[in-house]
Amino acid sequence: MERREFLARLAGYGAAGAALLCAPARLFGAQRPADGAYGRALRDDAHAVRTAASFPYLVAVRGGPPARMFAAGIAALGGMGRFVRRGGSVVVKPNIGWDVPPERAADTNPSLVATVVEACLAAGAKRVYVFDHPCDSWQACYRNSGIEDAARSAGATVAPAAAESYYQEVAVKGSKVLASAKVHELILEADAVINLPVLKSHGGAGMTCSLKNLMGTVWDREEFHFKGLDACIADVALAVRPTLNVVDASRVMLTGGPRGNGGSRYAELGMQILCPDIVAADAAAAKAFGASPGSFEYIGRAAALKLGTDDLDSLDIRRIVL
Amino acid sequence: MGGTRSGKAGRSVYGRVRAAVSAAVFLLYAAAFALSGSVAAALAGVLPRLQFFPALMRAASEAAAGVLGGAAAIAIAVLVLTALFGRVYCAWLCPLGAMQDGLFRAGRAVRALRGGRGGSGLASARGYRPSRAAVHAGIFVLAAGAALAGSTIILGLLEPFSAFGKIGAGLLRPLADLANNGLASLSGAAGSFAVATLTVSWAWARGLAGGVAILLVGSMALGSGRLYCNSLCPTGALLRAASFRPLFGLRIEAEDCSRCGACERACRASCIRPAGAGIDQDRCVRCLDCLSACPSGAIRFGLARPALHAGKAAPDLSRRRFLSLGTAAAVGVAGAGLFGGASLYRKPAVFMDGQSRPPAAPPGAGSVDRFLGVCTACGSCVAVCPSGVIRPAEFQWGILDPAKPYLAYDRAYCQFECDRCLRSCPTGALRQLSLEEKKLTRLGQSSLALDRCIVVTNETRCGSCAEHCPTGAVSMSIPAGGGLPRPVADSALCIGCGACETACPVEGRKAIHVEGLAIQDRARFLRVRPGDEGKAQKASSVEGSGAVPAGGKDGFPF
Repeated sequence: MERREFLARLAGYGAAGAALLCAPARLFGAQRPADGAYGRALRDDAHAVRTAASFPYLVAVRGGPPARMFAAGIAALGGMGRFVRRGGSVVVKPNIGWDVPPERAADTNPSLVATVVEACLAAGAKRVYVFDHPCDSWQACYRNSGIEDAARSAGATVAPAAAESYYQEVAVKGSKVLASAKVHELILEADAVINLPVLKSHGGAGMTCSLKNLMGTVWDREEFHFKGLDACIADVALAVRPTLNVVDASRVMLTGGPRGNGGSRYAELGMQILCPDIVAADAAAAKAFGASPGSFEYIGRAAALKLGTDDLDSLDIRRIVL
Repeated sequence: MGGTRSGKAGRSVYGRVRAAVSAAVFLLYAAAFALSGSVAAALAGVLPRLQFFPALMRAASEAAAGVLGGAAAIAIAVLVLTALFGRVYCAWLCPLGAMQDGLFRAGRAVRALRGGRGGSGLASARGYRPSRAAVHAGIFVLAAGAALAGSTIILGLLEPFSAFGKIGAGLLRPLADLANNGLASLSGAAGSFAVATLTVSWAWARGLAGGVAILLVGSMALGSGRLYCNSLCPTGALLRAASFRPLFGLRIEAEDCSRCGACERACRASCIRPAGAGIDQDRCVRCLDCLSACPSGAIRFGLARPALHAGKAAPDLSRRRFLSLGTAAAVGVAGAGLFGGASLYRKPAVFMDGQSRPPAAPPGAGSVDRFLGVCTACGSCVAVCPSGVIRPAEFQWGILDPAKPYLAYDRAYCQFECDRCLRSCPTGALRQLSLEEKKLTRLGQSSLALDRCIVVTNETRCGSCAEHCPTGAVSMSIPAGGGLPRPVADSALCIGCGACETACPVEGRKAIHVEGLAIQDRARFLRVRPGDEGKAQKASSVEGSGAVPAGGKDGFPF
């Protein structure tokens, strides 16, 4: 055997051996080492981008189907290229929490998910991942929400998130209650996170939107309830920072949320809110919901953590009616 | 039809076809139990219902309800097949039979390695074993009689599909999940999410139920082939009676037989008499190994002739045989009466920890008493449940009904939009409700303990129970004196799915829990009153109005 061939084989066996050694640890859901530093650095760049003054701070669109509203909204905001780096990896994080059909509007509108995925790919993203850590059985949620099919045919990788092994513990710096959280590895590795919540009522938090949607990037959901739901919802946004929030407020469940039931009431708002500032996005969503941002404790807490502003009057808002 | 052979040590063509069919049956049933996902669910919705004994039980339930359906057709078809060709079902169509054959081969291979008895080819069973029909009949009378009298405990232990299912749900499924996670880890290392990591479907009760079944069946199969089928199996006993004088059978042609004993040693049912003296048709499972083993082609499958029953021209009706059969039957009836009588005093849940509560049965059970009287603990519903909330009981149903399914709400809840369990139930223990009916079927009743609720004890917002409730039975409401919204329950809307209990973040005993109902009745369905759709909410909790205030700009409220 030639020396070169020997070395090549040695390298091959080494790689195979390493893979096998890593395998048993994951069989029972152990963690992989964190390597999210790369993604975080890029998101800091994105932070500089999103505070650029040349574009409106918040864009609100109404009067059209979700895909058209998004097209108009993202154009007004300077295009997807502002938020997605060419060749980078992107997580699009819709709400896929419940095994219900799309018309129940308990999950994000599947056509909006598809449109956002396409926009990311068109802006040069190398890979787009879509996932959520749902409440109901995950395969059923992915399938029956219509999101799995829509995202996949738009070109995204629909990733699983219902096993602890996909999550890595990260410290939540500056938090009030949540000292650390197990966050999905794709979030930690991504160059950009597009937060894609559906606006609806919520039995625990009052209303769920951009901030609450981040709970689906975390493994231990019960902990949030036990430690204080509002405080944890605000805290987790310190660890998971979306580059853009796109609020699906087309059909809004006003009561009986987040799952909804036969007695749930709806409003056909036909609206979408796009904003890089997660607090401002939720403050505007609260008003669209028919409440004041102050009605929801976690919005104030997030503002106090300097995650954004809930003072809508001071902002440059672009309103578009299709 | 002659014994077509393909060489001295090989199997006959018929033997190969038999082995292929049997292996395919095993793989299909193993896939239905061991895999997760929609393909496995589709298999599990069909395959269990095709098996003989479950179909017989379903036919009985259907007949009691005045329906004559496919179940009766399946049972009759198998009986006719058996009367014509003998126990073809046992070696061709029974998944537990296939599993035993696999274990038998494994045992033979081990013995061959050790250099023990007869390692080569097919020859390694124990040779002819006496019939012991009376014992088998007695056990059948006990199992079937106890079931008729109200207790399926013996059937649950011995009925072959039930044993296979418990092994599938309790052992094969967790193993398949582990294998899947191994693949997921390899694909993950390559940066792909093609295989998703699953939560391993493991519970001690599942492993225990599967473990008991594999120990019982495996210990007999490893060394003795189809001994289980010819001594304990209730299906075997029934088909044995049906195949006493089959129209077609295996026979040994005396003029071609060299009395070498190869067939006798090869027979996994131990039913070939020494020196080519004949084959006991009632114990022969039609595996056709003797065709392959015979070096002189003396064994033929064909139309029965008197010679078929060589050495046993007329049924043995001696006084001795009559007495032994009678004794066995009497013992069986007495045992059946005992179990049946005990089942009249069935106590759901042995309250060992002082905190247990009546368990909930899977949807479609109707009344718990009826359900427990029909269910043979086959594990089909356990295997197919996507959330894993269905678990075999230890003693939740009492000591007479071990391994029967109940809903364990500690880690999972019954999925509102799912009806896989009742679709897969082969015995009729779970009725075929439509999905819409199932969504309104009350499995249990939730009950609140506000003194344990973290809204009260920790003064924090929660509402996890109300969030998960699919029917609106639990909602959040600000108490009269003000403060944080607390859960309130409307029992008429509750279906006992356990979502609230699973979701409750309280450690230990939850602040909301579900008690099973002895009779599954119908819940009220929450509807929006006509004309209320757009109305503003009652001020009990923060809920949306969706109304744009007067000061809005361009129709935007901000």
